[in-house]
Amino acid sequence: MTNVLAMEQVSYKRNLKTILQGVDLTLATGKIVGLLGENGAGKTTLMRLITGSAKGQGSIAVCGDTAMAQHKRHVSFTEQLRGFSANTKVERVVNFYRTVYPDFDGQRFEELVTFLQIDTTLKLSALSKGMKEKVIIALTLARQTQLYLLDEPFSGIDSMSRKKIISSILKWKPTDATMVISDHYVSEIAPILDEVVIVKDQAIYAHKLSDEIREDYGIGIEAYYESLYEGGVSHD
Amino acid sequence: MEFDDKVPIYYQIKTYLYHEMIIGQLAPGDKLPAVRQLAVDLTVNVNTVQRALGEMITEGIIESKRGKGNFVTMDEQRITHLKEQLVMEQLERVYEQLHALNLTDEEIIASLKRYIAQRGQQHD
Amino acid sequence: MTSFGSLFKVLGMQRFRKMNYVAGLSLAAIFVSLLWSWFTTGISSGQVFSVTESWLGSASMVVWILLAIDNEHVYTRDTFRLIPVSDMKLYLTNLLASLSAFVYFGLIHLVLMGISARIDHKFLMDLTHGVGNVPIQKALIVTGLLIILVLVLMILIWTTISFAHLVVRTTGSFLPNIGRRIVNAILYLLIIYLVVRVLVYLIELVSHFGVSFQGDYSPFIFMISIFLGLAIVEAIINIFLLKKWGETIAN
Repeated sequence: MTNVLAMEQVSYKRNLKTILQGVDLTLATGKIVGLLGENGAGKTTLMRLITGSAKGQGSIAVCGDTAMAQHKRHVSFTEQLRGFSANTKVERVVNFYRTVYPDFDGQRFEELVTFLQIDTTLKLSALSKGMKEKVIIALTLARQTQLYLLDEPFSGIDSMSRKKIISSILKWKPTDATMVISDHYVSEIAPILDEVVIVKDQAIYAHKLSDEIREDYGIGIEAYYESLYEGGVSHD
Repeated sequence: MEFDDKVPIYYQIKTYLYHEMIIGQLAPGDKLPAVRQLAVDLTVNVNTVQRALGEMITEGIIESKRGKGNFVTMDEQRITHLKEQLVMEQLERVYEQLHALNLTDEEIIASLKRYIAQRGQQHD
Repeated sequence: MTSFGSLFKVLGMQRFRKMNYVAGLSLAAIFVSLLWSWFTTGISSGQVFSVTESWLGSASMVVWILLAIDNEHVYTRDTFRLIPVSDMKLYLTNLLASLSAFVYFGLIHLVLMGISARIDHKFLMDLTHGVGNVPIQKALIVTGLLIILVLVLMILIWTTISFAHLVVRTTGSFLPNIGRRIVNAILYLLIIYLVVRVLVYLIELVSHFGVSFQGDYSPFIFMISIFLGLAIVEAIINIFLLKKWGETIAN
């Protein structure tokens, strides 16, 4: 059995408020998984628990490793570059990544830069929202890891950038790596998803194959997702 | 390519490839694009392309040559058969719907003829 | 896993660059101040040295605060916390990077001080003429110990800031969100008060025993060991807090 992620009874509380409770989630290798849920449902928290940026209860194994320092080696997360001041040039950020991540592939990064038309001589403050997201995607995908976590990569981004980002995901995702993409707007990414995981009511509400939803219910991913909030599709 | 979110994606990929074969865009013996390339071109997942191709290989429409890639079958009869099958599927749908309107077989043929004649005029 | 060298490079680089920036600004300030005096009242004897020292003295304070901020940023930013190393390695390398940058700035300071002292050579010789003859070797050792004492004190204050910061962040994720600011402020004060109390207690304790120790340098050595000891204890607690509860700021 090849699971890239195994979460068992994971819970997370903050300020006496329960965000996630008893989360069980197993992901196989080589998949593209949509992590869906309303804003504030706990999608980002789930990713942060996997990277170790948030501390909860329960066990999380990435590629069989439960030690947090090992997680960091296996996981590439779209972090928002908060560690850099606004006047840092993109190329300096790239150097940081190259130095710090042994799995950072310079060749891959150059290809991504060309494909996404990134100008690395710009300062971070000079990047538009779409361009900044492209930089983050290029940095995240340039690492050769087993698990990629993309946290809302399409929010507030124009449709051209969105299409480019989707293409780069399809082009550069290593075959045996799993990629989790969180989003609260499904239709754009629906065709590329193998599976969908829906976070609702502080837990994993549903975890299904995309084509299974289409076959079993005869409806689209988006309609299925929306039906969960209206109580339309019965569950067993 | 635009997908219908209600229909399984692998099924739509198959339909798309069948279509390409029937109209001759993909001739018998032609090599199909690499899986990842197909995925990028169609904006779908590599696994889904793999599933579609897998089923087509089982059906014998595509032949997989180890280390060389996937090829459209040289067996033209299969493609003719495939075309026949798709035409029949479409006709079945039309027939069912017209039948549901209480049209007799003769009436259906007559309407179809009338329709084609009308279309021909419109195009002139 | 990221090597110590790579980690030190990225953590240190940003800070060394900052040191160069502050040093450049200080030089500009010194130059402008002297130029101003030259045009208005003329430069008096000893002014080059005193102007240089006063600007660099304040710059050292600024630099020290900037480094404290950089130090804390590392704990709360995913950019640093996602680097594949253990929390202990990250914490210690981070502290070392800040210390190295501070020492680097100290060296720049020393060089500039040397140059300005050379210019005001005569003035300084006259000034120190009256001071009794201190053996040069002893003076050097005392100066050396003094520098070490200051550096150790710097480390202690940094670890104390981190300690307070991490405790406040830890309690912050447990307690309800009501009145956070007030609770935080009280916590910060309480922790700093506590650390100072412990320090005073240790100094009293050691000076009590200190009587039996003879020698010119022992007060320095005692102070250094107390500061260092306390800093190590705080560092151990900090690493534990970081590992167990130290969350980053969310995306």
